[in-house]
Amino acid sequence: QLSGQSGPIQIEADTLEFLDKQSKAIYMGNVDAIQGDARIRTDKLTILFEEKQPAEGQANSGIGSGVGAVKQLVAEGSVFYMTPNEQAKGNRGVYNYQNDTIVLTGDVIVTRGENVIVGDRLVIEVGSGKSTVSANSKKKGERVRTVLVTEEADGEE
Amino acid sequence: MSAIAATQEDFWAPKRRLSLEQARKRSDLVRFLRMLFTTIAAISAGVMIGSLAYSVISGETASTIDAGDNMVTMQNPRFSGRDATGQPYVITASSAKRNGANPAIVELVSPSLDESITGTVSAPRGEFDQATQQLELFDDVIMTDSSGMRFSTTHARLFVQENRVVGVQPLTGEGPIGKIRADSYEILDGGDRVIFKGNVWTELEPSEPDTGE
Repeated sequence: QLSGQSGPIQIEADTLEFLDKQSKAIYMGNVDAIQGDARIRTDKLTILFEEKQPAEGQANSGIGSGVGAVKQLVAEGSVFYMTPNEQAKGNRGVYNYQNDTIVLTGDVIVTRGENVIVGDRLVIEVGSGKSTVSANSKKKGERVRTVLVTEEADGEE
Repeated sequence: MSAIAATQEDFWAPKRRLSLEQARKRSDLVRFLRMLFTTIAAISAGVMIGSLAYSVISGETASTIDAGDNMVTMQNPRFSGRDATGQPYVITASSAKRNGANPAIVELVSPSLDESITGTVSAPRGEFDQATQQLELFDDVIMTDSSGMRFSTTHARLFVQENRVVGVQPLTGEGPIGKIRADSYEILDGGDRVIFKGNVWTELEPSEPDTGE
């Protein structure tokens, strides 16, 4: 699921190419995917489906006949992942259905309210809502950087 | 005596109802009628055999032919053939009439095509171009296939030989994978590739993955 809430995923785009034998659907251009209260906006979204084996002695024929459950979503280009309390941006996002996680990579910026976290990799466990940001480098200034805005205590000018 | 004998012979001999002249006229009439009926029989046999031969050669089979307004309308025609990959296809319709301007085009009422890639395609109206092997369908075009997907649109051009379908009017679809809407579409590679263009909207039902328990 893209969000803690299950239900259908609605996706809008300029074009969609459905490749039956590869069990793949490729959305291109202004892609906007919504499920429950979660949303992904990206330039290109590829959905990989489980392959459905044909019934005994029959061949899959017809559009979508060889396609089973959603296995993986891959978002590429400028990827935005938004939930009511968190927005994340990156160059590539992979949602893995099996372990219910979203992995965002490439110039990752996560904002929660006024707090900002910058890193190279964000892992979101959709079910628990837990997010982990990490950096590839250990060098100063290239590690995970966070800006936390604390609320001023009453009476302090 | 001989006069009496002659009268007695006349009395016993069967009266000849027709004179020789009348008898000759009657046989001429019978001969004429026999020739007339034989000619009519030959002509109708020729028409029947001719129409059967015509439909066999052009691949069309029709149960009855109406020849109103000097255009031949075929009832329940069937056009069959094989596409580029050797898959058989059959186009049926409730009636078909040759286009007055272009005889290669047959105007179809309630055409339906059974074919491997799109399953079954039907529409209230269509045109089949036998020269280019293209079937163009109009109005309420419905495409259903064996996986349960059902598409509805108002236009479809089927390139039957190339296993390709092009539609330039909006399309809606629904089936096991979910729902779809788009401004135009193209089905390629024998149904393996389907491209939807323009305001694409889809709703996918992400069914629970097989946990294999």
